[in-house]
Amino acid sequence: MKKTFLARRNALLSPSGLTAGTVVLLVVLACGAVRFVAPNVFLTVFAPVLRTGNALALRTESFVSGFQNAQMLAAANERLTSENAALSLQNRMLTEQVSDFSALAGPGDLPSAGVVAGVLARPPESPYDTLIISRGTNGGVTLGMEAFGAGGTPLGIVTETSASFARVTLFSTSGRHSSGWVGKNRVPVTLVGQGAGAFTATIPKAANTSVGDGVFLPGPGALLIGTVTALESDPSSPAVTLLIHPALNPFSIPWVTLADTGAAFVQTLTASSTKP
Amino acid sequence: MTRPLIISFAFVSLFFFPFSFWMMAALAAAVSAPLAPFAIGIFADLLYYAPHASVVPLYTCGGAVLALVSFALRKFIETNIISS
Repeated sequence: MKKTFLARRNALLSPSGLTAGTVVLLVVLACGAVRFVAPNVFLTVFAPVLRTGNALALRTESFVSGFQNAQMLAAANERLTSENAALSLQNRMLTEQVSDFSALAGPGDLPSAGVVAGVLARPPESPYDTLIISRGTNGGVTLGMEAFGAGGTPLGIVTETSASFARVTLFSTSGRHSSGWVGKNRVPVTLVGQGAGAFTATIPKAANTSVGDGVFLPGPGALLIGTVTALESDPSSPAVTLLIHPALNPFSIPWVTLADTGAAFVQTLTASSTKP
Repeated sequence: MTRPLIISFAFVSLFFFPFSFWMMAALAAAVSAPLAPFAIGIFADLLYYAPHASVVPLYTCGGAVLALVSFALRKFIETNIISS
């Protein structure tokens, strides 16, 4: 007797799921080939999408804030507050620099104006604490340049470049170690990135660090990168862990200034124990 | 029709939404197409990974693991349906 074979069919387990995934994977692998062979072409293709995302975020914010006067005022207040914060940071940093330079022989070694670049992608869209910026080697960006935000706040280092774009790895990248100082006495610390702009550092209790102390990175003098917001300590331990809040919110960085300060070289060294 | 929409949305969300959101979208895509989270993970690393940011491309690895789990779950469900 002839047997008829009927394929078992199930809506949940159709092979088209596998097929769709395979097609998508092949397309992504093709994109990967383009990314490695011609990185500038890859970002040139996707930069308009990233720009659209930025524009949409801005328009959504202004659309929502346009409903009520109170919300418009709140937005204006927020803008002025952020401007004030940037100016305050700049003022604080300049004060620290004047203090440091006056202790030395004389002024000098300030970085040149640098290269200004717009930010195409930033955290939290970017999961690695990296920025994609719209300037590359054609715009004077080179590997190892340091990126600064509003008020001259150090943000990170250029770790990848193409002709028209570059990627900046933030100092706050999770697990990244940076040498810096904390407090008025410039106690040397190793800052450990925690992602999203935050840092932690461990120092001896005897250093007498307190909440509100500034945290600095080396540059021309000491550059403010954050503020100590909490201290965690075990009574039996001689050390205290500092929780550091960033001076500049990495989620809302519209542009950066790039300058060659030798930060990439400094990053390769171990924690410095010298005063700026 | 739903499958391409979910996968497309997961890819588009890479550009417009925080990473926690697009990871959820990748998880949703894994239900309909097991290889989709792997592809999304690779694409996320192509876009955002930079040297010194991480030792390994985390989202490619995470996508691969999610794809394997998705395949295993589908196989498990398939086996149960056939045996019942």
